[in-house]
Amino acid sequence: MKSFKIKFWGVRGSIPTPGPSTLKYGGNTSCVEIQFQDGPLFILDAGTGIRGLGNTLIKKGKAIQAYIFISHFHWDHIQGLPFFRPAYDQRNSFLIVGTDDAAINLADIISFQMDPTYFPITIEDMTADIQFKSITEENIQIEKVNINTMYLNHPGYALGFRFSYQGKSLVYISDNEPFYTAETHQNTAVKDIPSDRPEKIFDSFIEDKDAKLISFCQNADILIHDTQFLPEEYQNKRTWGHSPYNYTVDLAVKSNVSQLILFHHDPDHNDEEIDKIQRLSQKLIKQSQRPISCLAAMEGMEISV
Amino acid sequence: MSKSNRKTENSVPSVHNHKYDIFVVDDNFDQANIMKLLIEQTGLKAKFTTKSEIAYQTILKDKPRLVILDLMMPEIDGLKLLKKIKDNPLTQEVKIIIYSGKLYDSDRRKAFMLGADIFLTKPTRSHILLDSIMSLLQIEQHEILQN
Repeated sequence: MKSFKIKFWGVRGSIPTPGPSTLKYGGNTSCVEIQFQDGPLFILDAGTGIRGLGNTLIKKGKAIQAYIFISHFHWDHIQGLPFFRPAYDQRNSFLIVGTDDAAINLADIISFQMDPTYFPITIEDMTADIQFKSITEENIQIEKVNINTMYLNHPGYALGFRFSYQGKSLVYISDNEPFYTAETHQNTAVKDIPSDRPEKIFDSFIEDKDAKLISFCQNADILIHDTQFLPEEYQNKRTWGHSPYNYTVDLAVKSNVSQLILFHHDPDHNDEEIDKIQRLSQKLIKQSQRPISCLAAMEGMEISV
Repeated sequence: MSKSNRKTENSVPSVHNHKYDIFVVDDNFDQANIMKLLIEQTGLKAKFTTKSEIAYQTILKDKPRLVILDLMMPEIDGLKLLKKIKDNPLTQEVKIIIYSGKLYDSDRRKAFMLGADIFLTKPTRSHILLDSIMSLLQIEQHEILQN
């Protein structure tokens, strides 16, 4: 028996990209559905893909209860929410889960994008029962699903999620850039200071966040990870908060995951370029001699675990 | 110059009785501990915690002159802690250095907007951290060397 089924409703990063060059993978921004077997419905991010998911849920004709996890609040992760029709039906209930801002609470972050200046319908018009749960880097339990979270390397506070259910696990890391590592650190510590001196230790100290991320992803059945760039593109786009495919593959190999899904495609990449990133990623995995299946996420794609 | 003299002449004027000069809040024990050792070499007194949820109460109670804050911490993140410190009249005069692995301009702007004095991205050189501390506490470099 499968433990959960996931479906991709939006796989694009940054901005929707409709048009003939993106027909294969799709142009909607981040949204992934997880239906746990005999368990809850989770929705990961509320990019424009959530509109299609909402319309499909409505067609089932039943009251909808779901948990909506927002990785962070950049537009491409929340801009579909005002168009999520189930939110306007009082029979439905939703818990929106995410990390709030130091100066703005979670509910206000969501409602501000529906201020009349930007949108004609306010959050008060959403007649479904909508609650908010603010989380940080922690472990929580929702129904029988265990959820671990981790801060990612992305502007603002962005969370990665690890969902564990019936012995299976899925890691969702939509937006993430390689952490600063010992390999990239140009150690310019003064050479003539004894190695046990505090200034020498301080100058050489690198907090190994990559090791923490590898541990977070370890042995996951599915890893969905930011793969926005080619390595040569990344050279000019450091500090944009996204990853080149070689970093994503390296993380998958070191974490010993079973399946890698390349996610958050660059809005400037057409279908052929995403095909290329998928092909190059598969080649790298083959070189690693690890049995990891690897696919680029596309709208409508379903995976059961 | 003796340490006590230095403090008499150069401490930031304050009505508070500081138990120590600098409080380090970082969830990485090794990072926090080495910062404490580095700072104490200068003659300043330092204390650290890896638990951000108790940090605010400690700051309220001990009133350090300067707090060095990490950003990505479980329980309470660094920016929330910064806001709490700056929102409370009892602690808003405390100087703040953000020391974080985050290298984004938007995070830097946010931290300054909330009242941070200096933002340093990890890893930095020890002399940059110490210069930042001395600058905020208005202590001259030659006085450090005499300790």
